[in-house]
Formats: sequence, structure tokens, C-alpha cells
Amino acid sequence: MLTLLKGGKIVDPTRKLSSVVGDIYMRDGWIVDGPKPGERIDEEINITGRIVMAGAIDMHTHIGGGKVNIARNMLPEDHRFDPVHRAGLCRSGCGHAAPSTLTTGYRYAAMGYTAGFEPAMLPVNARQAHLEMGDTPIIDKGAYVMLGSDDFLLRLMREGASQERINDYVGFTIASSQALGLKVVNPGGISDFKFNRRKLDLDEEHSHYHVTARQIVHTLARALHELKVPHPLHIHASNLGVPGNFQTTLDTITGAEGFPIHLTHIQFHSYGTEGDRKFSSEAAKIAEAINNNPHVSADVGQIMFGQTVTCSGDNMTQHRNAGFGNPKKSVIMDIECDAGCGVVPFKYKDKNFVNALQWAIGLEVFLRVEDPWRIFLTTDHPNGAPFTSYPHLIRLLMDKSFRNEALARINPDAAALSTLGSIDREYTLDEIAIMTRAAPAKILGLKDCGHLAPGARADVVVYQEDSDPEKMFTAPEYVFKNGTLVAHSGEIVAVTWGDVHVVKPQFDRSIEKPLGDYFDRHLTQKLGNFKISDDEIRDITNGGGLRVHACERDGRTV
Amino acid sequence: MATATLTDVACPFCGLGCDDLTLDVSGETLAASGGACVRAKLAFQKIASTPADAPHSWVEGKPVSLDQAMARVMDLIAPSKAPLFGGLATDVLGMRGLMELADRTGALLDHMNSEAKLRNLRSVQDAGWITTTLSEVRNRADVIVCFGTDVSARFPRFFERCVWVEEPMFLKDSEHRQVIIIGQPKDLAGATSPKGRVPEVISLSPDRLAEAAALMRGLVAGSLPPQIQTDLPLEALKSVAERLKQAHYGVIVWAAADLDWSHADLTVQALTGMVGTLNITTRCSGLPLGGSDGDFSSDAVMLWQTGYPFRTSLASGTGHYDPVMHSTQRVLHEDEADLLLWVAGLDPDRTQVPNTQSASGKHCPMIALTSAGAPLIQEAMVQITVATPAVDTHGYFFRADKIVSLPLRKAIQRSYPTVAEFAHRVMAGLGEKAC
Repeated sequence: MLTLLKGGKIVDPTRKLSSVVGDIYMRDGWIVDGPKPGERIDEEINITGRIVMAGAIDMHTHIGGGKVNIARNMLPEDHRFDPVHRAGLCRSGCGHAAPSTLTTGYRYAAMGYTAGFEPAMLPVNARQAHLEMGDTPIIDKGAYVMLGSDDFLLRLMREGASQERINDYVGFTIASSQALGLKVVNPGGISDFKFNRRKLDLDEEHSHYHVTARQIVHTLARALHELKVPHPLHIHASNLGVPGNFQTTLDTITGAEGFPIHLTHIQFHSYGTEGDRKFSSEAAKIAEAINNNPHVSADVGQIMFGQTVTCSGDNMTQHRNAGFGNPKKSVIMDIECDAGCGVVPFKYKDKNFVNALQWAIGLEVFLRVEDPWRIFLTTDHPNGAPFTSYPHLIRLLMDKSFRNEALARINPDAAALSTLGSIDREYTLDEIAIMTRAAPAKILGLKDCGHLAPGARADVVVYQEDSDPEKMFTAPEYVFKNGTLVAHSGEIVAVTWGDVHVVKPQFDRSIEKPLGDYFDRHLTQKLGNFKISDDEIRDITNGGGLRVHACERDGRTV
Repeated sequence: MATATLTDVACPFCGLGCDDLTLDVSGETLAASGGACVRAKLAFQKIASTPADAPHSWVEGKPVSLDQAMARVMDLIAPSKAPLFGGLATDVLGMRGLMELADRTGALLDHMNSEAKLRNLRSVQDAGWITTTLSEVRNRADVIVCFGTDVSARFPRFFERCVWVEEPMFLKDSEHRQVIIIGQPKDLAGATSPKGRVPEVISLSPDRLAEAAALMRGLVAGSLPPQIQTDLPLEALKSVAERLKQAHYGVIVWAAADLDWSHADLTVQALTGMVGTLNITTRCSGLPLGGSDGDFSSDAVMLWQTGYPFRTSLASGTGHYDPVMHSTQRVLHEDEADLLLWVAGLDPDRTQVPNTQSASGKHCPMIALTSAGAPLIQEAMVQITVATPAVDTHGYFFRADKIVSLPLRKAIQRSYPTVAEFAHRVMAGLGEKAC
């Protein structure tokens, strides 16, 4: 089956195409050059005047795993106001802060997203994360598995194990949990919270293992580099939300010593202590550090005003912030000598000084980081806001007057402390395409996604151009997933099942001997049942496939 | 006769989800060994001992072919306007199939253990909690309080796997752990340490436990009046409160099924509130044990597919959660369902079925899906033996801490349909229907 999208304005930053009029051919799920000699074009869609981009990729969105289900369980009231009826091809579900998996897939697809990546999959909870993602239709999925507060790693580090041995363990964990990357959350802090520690700075020693967060970050960043895993260490740094934490963030960048790192939801890590309320923006310093360190990338974790729920592996921080919960309830868990989690509902208010400044800080970071290939559009769904707010966020970035009108409505003390109003930058369509497609694909090592060159997956989105980017990005005219038209002007017209993206780094399998012993002596599960096989992934993805990406990356960037 | 030995087998017959069992397969017999408890041995043996050629489908108590049974199922489901899917003792894959069918037919979904589960759920939805998982207990817990729960009776290997272990990572040894039981356990064998140290028991009858939980919460918070009048053993409870405050990592264990009194959610909230207060100065966690009869497995699927837990109706075309109005027993009593699909697809000894007679005397027709080895259900118009995960088919099972889910493997070959296959066959029979 050969489909021609004729005459669209192609925005494809990977090939440096900026609204260039051209044709796109799709055959059997892939983008191709054009018809073979004598081949008939089965379907031709005239898209003259429309913008064409690759499917969008959300590189940090909490769409699977125990903490999201905890949020669903705890917040029936949040779902009641966003019911989703069974209609057309779509099953029933619910939306808003912690939407049902089915609704998540439909809504992402209708918005032009064709892939989403769960950023905090606990090794012991990986099966559940895959089961939930397996029930998320249309979009491709993948996950970053979490290490850094697991006792096995901390024991290895305390014992002075070689980097090679740690690499084997990291490689094993990625492979056996079917992950695409590796995340560290409050390095060592989740574990130390179990020893009654309430705050762990980058250079403080863990109370039991006597290693520091800096050492953990460095060790894991190096492991990924040596294993040639494309996506650099995905870091939720120490001291999330703590005023003055910008220094921790800067020190974390230094601590990586040139190994590539990705700092996640950086908005929550860009706070100073200036002003009467000892809470201020240090977005400029953070942006400058990113600008000056080409081995560093970040996603923003923008907050939006309204009700949401925060789901995090960082139980230490979530316990500290539980009192700010709105509604006032929270679930905090210690998990299997492996990790933790904390779920706290939040209502961000534009008249609240702290929330308003958080909003401004996120936008400042977006606008002050110069290279759109290294800053990613996220709300850390649902922690800053549900992913359905992306079109609004895109308008805030692309439309200065709209942004300044919003700035005029927030808490005036916060607005006065922010430099947002003085920033003239407006993101271009090309830059939006970079930060939502080309760059995520590049940083995740997804060679056949995020662009429209022949050989790419036919994940293609066609937008009706509009002076209001929010309107334009809310309901694209056509969304193709693997060449199938799945959404048309906001309506789902076909339900397919996306693939699971993974990497399989090379490691010495003899690590399974000490690990098996460790599981038998200390845990309550057998190693063999912890591991998730390829067949299992295929069994639970409702027909979606398993896509293995090569472990190869450029040399160390300093 | 085919023989095989399967190792590291996960068991779905209580919420503990032990996965260190050995299964000896010989033809159609299954013998569980390794660490298997009595309950697991019985369940595996009973399910497997039904010969493959024995009757597996019945209509009004008479053996029929599966096709005949399915024809009757279609006669019942096709015209149903208000189906109730009850029991829901199945695994993740079974529940996935049932959810599709429920969405298609506008069914109300409720689990056989909902009443107990709601005692915890109401507390979570109201205030939240701080909890932990089995391996954390195993390696950290220095003070363990079993509250109103005969833990060994419900979870036979709990103490063996989570308490009396050889090398807890963060304690000198297990022998020095303090185990305190508040309630009236039948048997102290499991809770007794390997060297014979008997746990401390504060013997209270169930009707005093709500008060005891509230009192302990007050003692920990220091919020009780100095001259409090009570006939509860105040000094003993004070001592427990004090030891929890001094503990490095206290754990409060309960199974909501045992807190069987009205408004027991308030008891759970007293316990979790106490845990919250303890965490201001030290670490303490709740361990709300559950997961038996697949309740955490099927609930997890419901949650991620609909956003709501059990007692959710899809009758209006979207999820409507009501923990009171949507109870199986109330819906049947009030004649609000015209069909009951009862799913008891795990432990064949879970034989209790709800009363299908309404207040007006009308009987709600029942289709029952049961494991091999389960008895005939008299009230069922149709009964079909379904493949049991971990015996006849593979699957996925969430254990007591809701975090670890285990792969269940197929052990023997029989031709029973899985719960999901049943659901898909019904949907195929219903054909296309505009939503």
C-alpha cells in the first residue's frame, strides 16, 4: 500500500527542511522515496498549504507503573470531571491528571504524538509498567529504568567494585527490565530515607553505605557511556523543590565530569533563595550552564495552573512535601530494597507566589536555553500538568504577547521577581519541531523516528496552519502511525498498538550469579521471575512489537 | 506419561505470591514442593487432579460440550441490559478480557473481596498512607505489630519469608526482632522465632480493636488526656507505642479481611495516621496485606483501564464508581442486575457465591467461570471450567504489596478456555455494535 501526501510544507529539522513544499510517500508503515517503477499510488491526499512534521515524541511522561495506578486509586474525584465515554472505535476511560491508559493513548495520538517514554520504571515494578504501557493504544512506548537507591548498586559501590562490574549490573538491569535508558532519582536519597534521612546533598555520605550522590551520578553516567547506551543518564537531581537547589544542579553538571547527562524537570531544580520570601528564580544561571556544557541536555517539567497529581520515585522529597498536598492526602512507599515512590496531589495556583514563580522559572529556562536540540518540551506529565496542556505551552513559547498577558495575571510579587517579561524570544515552528520530534529521537537513539526521511517509520502529522499555535497543535488534521491514519482532526479513526522501544547493551552475564545469590538471600522474588523476556513483552503489548535500538554513541564529549 | 519438574514457580493462591515453588508434573498430576505451603499444595493438586476428559461445562447442572454451554451463555448475555461481573478472581490477562467485555456490555464490576478491600481504599482515598513491601520488611523491620490479623492463617509463609530470615541486610539478626500481636491469633507457631521466642500477644477480641487502634494513635501522638479512662490494657499499648517510637523501622501489618466490623476504614485510618505521626521522628510503615483471589491483579487492570477501582459500573458508557451502591450483594438484593457473570478462576476452594435472590424473590441468572476442581454451583444456569493461571495457562499476578507482579507459567496441557478467551468468544458472538 503506497500513500502519497502531496504538496505539504515539510518541517523536518533533521534534514534542515523548514516549511519546504514537497511530497511524502508512505509504504507499509515506512517512509519511502517514491513509487517503484510501475508501482501504483493507492491513495493520494492533497495537503497543500498544510504543515507536515514527524510524529511528536514525549521523552518524559509518567504513563506506566505503580505510582500512576496509585494516583488513579487515590483520586476518583479527579476523574469524575473528565469522563470519557465509549464511542466510535474507542473504549471508555477517563482523563485529566492520571488518565486511564486507553484514554492516554487516544489523546496523545489525537494531539499528534506517536511515542511517549515512561521515565521512572522501578526494576521490581517493570512488569507492571510494561503491562500498563501495553494497554496504551496507538503510541510507541519505552521506559528508563531507575537505579541509584537500590541496595545492590550501593553495596557494589561500598565494596569498591570495579566500574566494569557496575557496568554489568547496569546492563543487566536495562536488559532484564526491557528499558530504553537509565534514570537516577535523588541519588542515594530514596535509600537513605529508609534509614530516616530527610535530606541528602550531593556531597553528603549515605548514612549506611557512605557513598555520595555525586559518586552515584558519576558512576552511572560513566556506565551508560561505556555500555554505549544512546540516551545519557536521565537525572532527577538531589534537592528537588528546595530553595537554593540551583547550586546542587550546577554541581551535578560538574560532577558528571564531562560524561553526557540529561537533567530532567529542570524547572524544579532552578530555585534560588533571594527576596523576602527566600525563593527566587535562578533560571538564568541554569540556562547558562546548559548553554556552556554541550554534553548536558534537559527537559523542563513546566507547571501549569490547575489540579494535578505528582508521581515520583523520590519518596524523601514527596514525604517532605506531603503537607502541601491538595487535596491533602498522599501515598508514600518504600519499595523492595530497590526504590520508593510518593504520590501527592497538587493544585498549582496562579495567585500563589511560589506556584506563579515556578511557572515563570520553567518558561525562563525554555527561552534562555539557546539550543533547541538540548531542551525538551515536557510538563513531567502529570507532575507539572497533564500532557494535554502541551498546545497551550507551545503557544506560550511561540507568542510573546500571549505570554506577557499570562504573566500579567499571575501573582504580582512573583511576576516582579521574574525576568520573563523582558525576554523577547519566540520559538519558531522549526524550533518546536526540533524540541518535540527531532531532538527527542536523537537523544534517545531512535534513528527511524523524529524525522521524515525515507527509511523512517511513517509516523507523520499534518497540521492546518493557524496564527494561534494552541489551536494548531491541539487537533492536527491527519495523524499517521506506522503509515495508518489513526486520527483525523481530533477524532480517532483507527486503533493500533505501538511498539516497545528498548536497548540491549552488552554485558558479562556472570553478574547473574552474585545477583541470583543476592535475590535468594535478601529479596522475596527469584531472579528468574524478575527478568522480563522478549516473549513476555510481545505477549503483553496487544500486538505491538519490540524494537531494539543499537547501543552506539559518539565519543565522550567534554 | 509426560513428566517434568518446574522450578521457581510462582503461586497465585494467596496474596503472598511465593515464587520459589517446585512443581512435579506427571501426566495430569501436579505436586508442589520446594517451599510450598499446605494451601498451595492443595490448590495445585486439586486443580490438576480433574481428568482432561471429565465434564467441564454444565447447563443447569448437566454436563454439556463447551459449544453448548457457550450457546446458552450467548442467550443470557445478548439480551442482558444490566450485567454484573462479580467474583473477578482471575489474573491480569483474564481481567483484560473481562474488561473488554464489560465495556462492550456496560457491566458493573465488583470483586469477591471488595468489602475488605474498601476498608483500606476508603482510608487511602481520604488521607493516603505510608506503606512498605515484603523485602523491606524482611531486611529492615525491627518492630513488627500484627494488628487484628492472624497473619499466618491468611498468608502461611509470611513469617518464614519476611521475618525469620537468616541474613536481614540492616539488622544484626532476625532473632532480636520484636513481634507483637494485637488480637487473638489461633496459632503462634509462625510468629515464634526459630529459637523459640514466642511473640508478645495483647489479647483483644475483635470488638475492642477499633478502640485499641484509636488509643494507640493517641498514645503515639501524645494527644490523649492524662487521666484517660479505659478498660483496654493501657500500659501494654503504651509500651507498644513507645517501642514503635524507638524503632528504626517499625511495621504495622494488617489484612483488611480480618478487620470485619462496621466502619473498619476508620480503624485503618487510625493505624495509618499513627504511622504518619511516627514518621515525623523515625521510620515506620504500614503493610496492608491482600492480593488473594487475584484482587490486586484484577483491580490493577481496572484502575489503569478505567481510572477507577472495583465497584465501578460501565452502564452509562463510562466509569461510574460507587463503593456503596455497587456492591454485588446490594445490587442483587435490589434486583438491579439481570445477569451475574461470576468469575472464580483461581483457588477452587473459594466456593462461596453470592445470594442471587432479590428482596422480591426474583433470581438473577448466573453464569459461573470456575477453576478445575471447583464444585458445581447449584444456582448457576451455566458453569464453565476455565484455565487456571499457573496450571493450565500462563498469566501475571500482583502480590500483596501491589508492587511486584509475577509471571505465572503453564504447567499442564488441558483444553479449557482461558477467561480472556471466554470473553473474546462472547464478544465475537455479540458481533459489531455501534457504541
